[in-house]
Amino acid sequence: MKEKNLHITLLVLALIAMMFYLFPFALMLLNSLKTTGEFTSNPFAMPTTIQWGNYPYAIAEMHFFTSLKNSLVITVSVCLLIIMLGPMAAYVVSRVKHPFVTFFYYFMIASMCAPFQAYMIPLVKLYASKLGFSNSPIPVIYIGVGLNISFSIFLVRGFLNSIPREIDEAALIDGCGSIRLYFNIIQPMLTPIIITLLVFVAMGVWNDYLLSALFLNTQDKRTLPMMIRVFCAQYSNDYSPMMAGLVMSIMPMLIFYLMGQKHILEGVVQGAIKG
Amino acid sequence: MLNAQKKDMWKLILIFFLPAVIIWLTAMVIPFIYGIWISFVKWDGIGDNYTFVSVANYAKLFRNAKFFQSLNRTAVYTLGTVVLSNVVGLALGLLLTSALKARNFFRTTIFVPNVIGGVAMGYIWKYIFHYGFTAVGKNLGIDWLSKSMLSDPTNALIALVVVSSWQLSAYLMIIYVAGFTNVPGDMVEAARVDGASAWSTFWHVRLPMIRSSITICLFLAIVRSFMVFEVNMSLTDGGPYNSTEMIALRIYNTAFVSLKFGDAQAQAVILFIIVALISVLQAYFTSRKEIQL
Repeated sequence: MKEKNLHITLLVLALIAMMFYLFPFALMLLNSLKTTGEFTSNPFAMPTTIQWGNYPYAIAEMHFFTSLKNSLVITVSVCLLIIMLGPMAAYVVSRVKHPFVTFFYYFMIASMCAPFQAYMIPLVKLYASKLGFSNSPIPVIYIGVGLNISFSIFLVRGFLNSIPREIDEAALIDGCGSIRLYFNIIQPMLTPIIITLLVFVAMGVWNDYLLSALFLNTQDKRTLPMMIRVFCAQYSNDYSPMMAGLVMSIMPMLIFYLMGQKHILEGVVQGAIKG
Repeated sequence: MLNAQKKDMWKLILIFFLPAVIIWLTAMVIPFIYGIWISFVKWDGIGDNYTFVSVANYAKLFRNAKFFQSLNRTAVYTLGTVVLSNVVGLALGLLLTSALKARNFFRTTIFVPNVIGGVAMGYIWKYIFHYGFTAVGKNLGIDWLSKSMLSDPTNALIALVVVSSWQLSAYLMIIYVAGFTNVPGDMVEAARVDGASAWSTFWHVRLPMIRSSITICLFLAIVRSFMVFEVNMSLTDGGPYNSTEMIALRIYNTAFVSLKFGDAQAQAVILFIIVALISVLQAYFTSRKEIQL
């Protein structure tokens, strides 16, 4: 009986905690289906008639599909490059003991703590002014890879170190070159850690505002987080469509999270041990 | 290293390692070094019209009260966020490793605030502060809640701490869950059998066992809070009257709104030094204790 009470107490506590973390989303969803008048008079009331119209209006006004496409192009490109280059470099760090490799590896790890603001202005100067990549997703993708590469090497290296060297040895004795060994034998074994890496990087790049805002300045190039900012600033008196826009903009990531949540939570823990 | 691998060593370094190093050098290291140069010039951001001014940008910075106010405010915000997010995150970690049923379901749902970016999060909360809380305040007759917290300097700072902690605590919760999961169950059991109360088991057995998780979470929270930008921009945009403009937002505004790139870069270098010092401290603290998660 005492144990049953404990279970109920814990469940109630957990439900309260969950409500605290989810109520902003519930409010957003609820108010996206009301008129702006209903929203401002009482945000907690149910809509008198459900205003589905807020959604098509928000989609059209924020050029939702254009910014969705732009976000997708950037995120997919960064992710593909990262999951290709990161594990390859990590393999070298894990297997080749050479001062050149070790030096750069520790330097890269140390650079992970540098605040983005420390090189934000020179990035604009170098890539937009000097190299002429203004209003283009290319520097956003390239720099996105540069910012995530250290973490990806670090993450995959930990996993690689737990793969026994005997596997390398057997293959090499059979006359397999190091590069073929990696692609045929090592890389397939890395799938779980690559998935963790992928979801982690995808979330960061998808939600990035600052880097994209530095390089993309016309509406046809904007990503979703940038679009939210512009939309919320422009339509600052029309709240309900804005709520609909916010719902639309977080939906892709929410779906992605629900599909890969196990790996994301895993990535948080592994990413935290980097200290 | 294996003999056969030695043969291919430079091929491996060249094809596998060098591309990553080059991208990293060109995206981070070279811009960073170039940034140190920019902090010594006067430059309006347009064209190549800059003049070398030596340490003038720094000298100006150290005479600028607004810069120190912003740093000071960032420190206060950081302190508030670090304490609040860690206390809540630790409590959640404890709750979600207890005998609770459906623990995984709660972990997954509570983490959701971290899935959305800072911009969307700031806007969602902005409308909750403007219309949600004020509606509650008016209905219950609570005076301070009847007008938006974001319109008062002190309350706006509190609001920023609350929103940041709301998200960060859910993140830290995952790390604390991992920490508590690794505490051997028989140790807790033994303490309980010896007659220790639930509180003293927590305080004397479980808490010391997750010391390394606490160190990680504290530093993670410090660094993240010190560099806060997106939620600062979308929730308060530094207002009212610049009272919540944290250092990262200030750097951004100095550069891209006021177009004083040299000044902004000097501030950025100071921010870098502060964050680097914090990281050195972290490395020192974590190397003293074995990291276990």
